[in-house]
Amino acid sequence: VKEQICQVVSQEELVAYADGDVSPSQAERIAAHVATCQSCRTMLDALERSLHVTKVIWRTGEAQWPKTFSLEKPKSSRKWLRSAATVAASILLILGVSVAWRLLSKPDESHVLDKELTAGEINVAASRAALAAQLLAVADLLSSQPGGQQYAIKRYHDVITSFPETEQSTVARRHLQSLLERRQKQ
Amino acid sequence: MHSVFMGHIERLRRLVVGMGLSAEDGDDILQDVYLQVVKRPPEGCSDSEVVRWLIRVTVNRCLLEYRRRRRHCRAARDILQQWTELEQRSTGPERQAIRAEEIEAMMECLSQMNELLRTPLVMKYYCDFGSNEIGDILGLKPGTVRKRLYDGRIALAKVMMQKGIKQ
Repeated sequence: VKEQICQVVSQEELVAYADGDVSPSQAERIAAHVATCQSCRTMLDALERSLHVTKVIWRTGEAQWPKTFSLEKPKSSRKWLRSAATVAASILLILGVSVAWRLLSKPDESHVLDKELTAGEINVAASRAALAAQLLAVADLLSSQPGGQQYAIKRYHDVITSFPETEQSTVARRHLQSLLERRQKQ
Repeated sequence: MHSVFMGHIERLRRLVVGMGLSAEDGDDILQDVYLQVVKRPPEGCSDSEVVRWLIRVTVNRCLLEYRRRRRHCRAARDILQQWTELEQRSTGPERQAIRAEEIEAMMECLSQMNELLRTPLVMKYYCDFGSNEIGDILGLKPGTVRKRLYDGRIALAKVMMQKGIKQ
């Protein structure tokens, strides 16, 4: 329920009048009333003055702004500090997780890299692993075929000697051993 | 999208300042908004819809920042000094004292005003949006916008009346 001070003109009408949102006839009626009603005049003055001062507050704030907007503007020092703190926290978190992971997983030392790989080195490693996997798949297929074991043994040897750094080399060694055992039993 | 953003940069700035943030914070906010425009632009929207989206994103970003601060970023005495400079004429010490009181009163009222009232107030009286536009942007019915504008105006006027300050 809207507060009503004057019985003739509502506060809502006064606000609309102050904003110029009334018809000419309404404006005339309100103006005539305000001239004779002290409470409405005070309220109207307060409405106009409060908005005027508020707009000054807004305008002076805008005046502090440089005329051009730059996307390259450096962040404020406070923002910079916040960003730096975030980065530092992230690094600590990554280090913590990394240390915990190493402690928990106890990796084979031979797999620990001495240095960071370049993109080219990663590509070469991936290609070699793919070739080794292909060769291993061929060897596995041959070993299951009648009369194919001899060829499979040769392929397993190829994987072991040509791609010794790959996981497939270990698998090939295991499969070769298993195949040889089967042949001995036969 | 870049041109839409740059075409409305003045309005966006007004929005930021009106929401009680400084120019320094404002630049950070507008950079964030611009990044959103570039990274996740609204798809299949007309220009007017993009503008509404842009204003909405900026309003939300301002509210987030203001909630964090919970206060106006500027001092009343600085505003008073700028006011005098903008008018380019000197005023007597008594008048200056009255103005300082008025500024402090309005700043306090704006700071404590619920953002549901403050946001439409800034959009209408400083950014020149109509009630229907404000409703579209904030997802409110025009009647709700008018009610909030009315409540905001009355809140400011009452503080001014309590101070007994004359024009």
